[in-house]
Amino acid sequence: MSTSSRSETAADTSRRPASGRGDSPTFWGRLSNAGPYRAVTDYVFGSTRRQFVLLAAFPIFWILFAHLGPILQMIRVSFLDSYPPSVGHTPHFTLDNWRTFFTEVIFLRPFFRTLVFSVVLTFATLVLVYPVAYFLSRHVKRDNQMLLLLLLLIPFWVGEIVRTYAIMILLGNTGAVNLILKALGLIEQPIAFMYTNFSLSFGIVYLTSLYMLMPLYSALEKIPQSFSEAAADLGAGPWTRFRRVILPLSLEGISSGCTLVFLISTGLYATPILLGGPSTTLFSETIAGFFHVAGDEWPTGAAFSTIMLLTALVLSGTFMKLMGALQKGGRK
Amino acid sequence: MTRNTRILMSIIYWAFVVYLFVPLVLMVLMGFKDSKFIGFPIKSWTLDWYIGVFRDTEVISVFVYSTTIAVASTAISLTVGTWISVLLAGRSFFGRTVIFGLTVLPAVIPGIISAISFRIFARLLGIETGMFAIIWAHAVHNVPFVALVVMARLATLPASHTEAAMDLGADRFVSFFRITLPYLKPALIGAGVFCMLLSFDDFVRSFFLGGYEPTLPVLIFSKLRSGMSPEINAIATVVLIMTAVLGIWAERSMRRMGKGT
Amino acid sequence: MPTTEDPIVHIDGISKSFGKTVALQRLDMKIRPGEFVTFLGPSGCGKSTTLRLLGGFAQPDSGRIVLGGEDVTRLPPNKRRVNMVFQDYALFPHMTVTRNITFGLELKRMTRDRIAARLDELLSFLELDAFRDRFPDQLSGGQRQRVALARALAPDPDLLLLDEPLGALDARLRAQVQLELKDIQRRTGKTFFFVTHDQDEALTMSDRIVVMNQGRVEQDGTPEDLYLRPKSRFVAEFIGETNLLSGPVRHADDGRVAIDWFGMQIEGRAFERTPRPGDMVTAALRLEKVGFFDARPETGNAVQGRVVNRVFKGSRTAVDVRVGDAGAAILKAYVDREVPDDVWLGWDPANLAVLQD
Repeated sequence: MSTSSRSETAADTSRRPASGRGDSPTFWGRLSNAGPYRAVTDYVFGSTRRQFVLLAAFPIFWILFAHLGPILQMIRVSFLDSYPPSVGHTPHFTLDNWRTFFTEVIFLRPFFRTLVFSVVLTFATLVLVYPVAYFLSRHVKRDNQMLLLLLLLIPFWVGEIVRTYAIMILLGNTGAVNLILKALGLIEQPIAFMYTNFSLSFGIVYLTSLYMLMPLYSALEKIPQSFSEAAADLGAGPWTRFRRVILPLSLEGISSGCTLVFLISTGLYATPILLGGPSTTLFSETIAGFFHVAGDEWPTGAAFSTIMLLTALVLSGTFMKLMGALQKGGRK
Repeated sequence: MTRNTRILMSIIYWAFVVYLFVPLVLMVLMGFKDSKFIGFPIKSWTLDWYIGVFRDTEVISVFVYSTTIAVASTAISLTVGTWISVLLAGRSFFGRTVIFGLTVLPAVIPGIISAISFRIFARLLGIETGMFAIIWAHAVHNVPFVALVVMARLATLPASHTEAAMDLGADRFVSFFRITLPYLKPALIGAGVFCMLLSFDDFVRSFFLGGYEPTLPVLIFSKLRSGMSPEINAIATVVLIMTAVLGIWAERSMRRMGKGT
Repeated sequence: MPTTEDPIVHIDGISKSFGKTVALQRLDMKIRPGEFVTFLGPSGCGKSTTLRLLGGFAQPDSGRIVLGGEDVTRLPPNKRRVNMVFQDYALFPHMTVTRNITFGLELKRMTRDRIAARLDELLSFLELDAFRDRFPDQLSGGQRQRVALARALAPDPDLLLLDEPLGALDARLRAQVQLELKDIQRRTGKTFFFVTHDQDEALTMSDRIVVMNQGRVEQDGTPEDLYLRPKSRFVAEFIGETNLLSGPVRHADDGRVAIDWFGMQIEGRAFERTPRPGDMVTAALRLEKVGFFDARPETGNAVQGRVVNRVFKGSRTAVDVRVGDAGAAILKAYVDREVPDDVWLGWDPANLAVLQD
């Protein structure tokens, strides 16, 4: 309702609807009493079972088809000897694609590099972001919290490519960092930050840090201020208060933040291409390679994707279980 | 907490803000550089690159293409996500937890694997790479976010509101459109804008499912592969400003409405 | 043609269970048009279940609900000529007072003119004219309650259900709204079905009170009946403050029952079944029906005792008096003047109601 509708004319219209329409029912009245509509709704709502089936049919179809379908199809293709199907050749079942992964060292290396990278960067992100989340949730007044959070969200909305590009400009040989170092007289020649483990790590942390912040913030924000005050009252020092009260209660946020960041890091594709070099190839690049060449490489790519997916889900699932157990253990 | 730690914490926060913003600010500045070569220092300034963006018909058509994809996929995500939420928020049924788990599945699948699986599935269904494939992939990817936001909002709708509507003569359908949907409006606006941004910014799915026509991130990526240039900065800056404005607007309108209800 | 004596609501043996919990056991009830009926009881007694069954928000396991001659047992809420005032009012937050009230009218295929006329009528009837363009969150608790009432009355229902609608109001406002509500009911002539756990509310407003306990009707009668002539211990204790006097029956004759209460001979009335001599019975005596005397009163029941405790309650004082052989029993009473420690207590036998259980 806008303010203008409280003016005199608007009030008049609400009292006596506009002439010409006064003798007709409203839209919803006409709809509810229209014959065909009533026939349909009487049928649909006539039995709770029928109503449920109609409500559930589309979502369940969508989820099985669109959410699960691609993954299942990918797993299926990983066991085929050729895909996409070519004329005159029926695909056969094979384990070769999976075997390739375990026998060729050139594939294992990027695979484990990706896992180590993701784990290390997830931890680094946690350490970097935790104080920020802590500060926001516990030292800032409620009204300002939203404002300061919004400030952090702005860069977050800017996509992967744009932000990766921003990092390229920052770290390049003629980038801002090298310029400043040179101006300070610390270096003669620019340092080659780009296309190294450093630039890649820097970029990934830059991209994922907000995914860590949000769960941490919402977990920390839920802890009443009185808890640490009570602990202080009982004689706990700042460090003990943090370790014994705040940290255990924020485990849930840590758990979901880390899982999210880990899964995102393993799935990044453009960032390793743009920021990494030949020595930093990640598994996503390996996988993508199978889809850019002609020939029957899709099944191998599908197998590698499946391996990556299973590993990532098992690792993060185990991690969340462990954190859950830790939480419960702490409560006992 | 002592005064010193408080100060230390606020320094950490502002350092984090600087860390997030400096790269973007530098990128924006570089778009004003009067030279073809990216890098500092900037000796002379020009608006040419920005003017160029608005004159470049390719950029504009790619922009329209990306927007179309974002709007279409968002519309699908909102519809499906809301529908799923209504199902999951209703009475319990056999397999509800499984359905919930599968609903959020696309959100936890690493980007590259999601893109690959869609590529394979699209091939199976005979969908050509291009706009429809991208819309479909974005819609599926964004459904979990809509569902989570809408379910959270739906959980706060008192059962008495829909009961009152039915009591006054509304059937479930009318009650959904006149009571439930208006109640969900802030959640839908928030989730919708978030979906638009995700779609607009997405690279990996658009890259693997795209045909000959690139989306904006794919265009920037391919330009980057052939070398950095202030032109890219100008394009990226326009994207940055648009997303930021859209995001801030959504945040504000969501908060205002959240207060009203 | 139904006459005014036909019940507007006929609840015919309905039962309802939630899992293993029995909410209602074969409830039978008839409600006459224009009655203000209150279902009173503690939470979980089945009163809200009855309300939800009448509204159509749940279906009974067995039995029928007949409304204005039509069996509505399986009809959804939107097909019943019943409207409800919800406990939290359930006003639609995104609609103005006007839109809230006309919500039900619009769905009835009424023309816009008639809707507007009906709206004006309701707004002035409930004195809501000034608030017509406000949103629910811009109204006070009492105003919200009136809007909820107007919205429920708008479609002209046969039966109006009220689910503890005064619970959200503060104590002082509640007393005022009780009278308003009774007045509105009288002026509209509507049948009100009111559910509450607050005995004051029930006594103030109702034509008829149904006391529920554990899914069964404990007693069904006028407020006076329930207050002065409770049938069961539950009703006696649930409504008002009461003394419960137990003892064997000495002799009984046509409702007059003589009881031996700790050696004291007292007389009470049984209003239904008269017990036989030798039966153990309990009788209820309201605190304010006990009179204080300096000497033994000449008529009615009389016992002598000693005041052992006084609690000042403003307009009156609650007094505990030790009575009977060796002070075996305590009788509670209200007194509005100073009394000495040694007193005689007396009451009219008609106020000592012999309970049926």
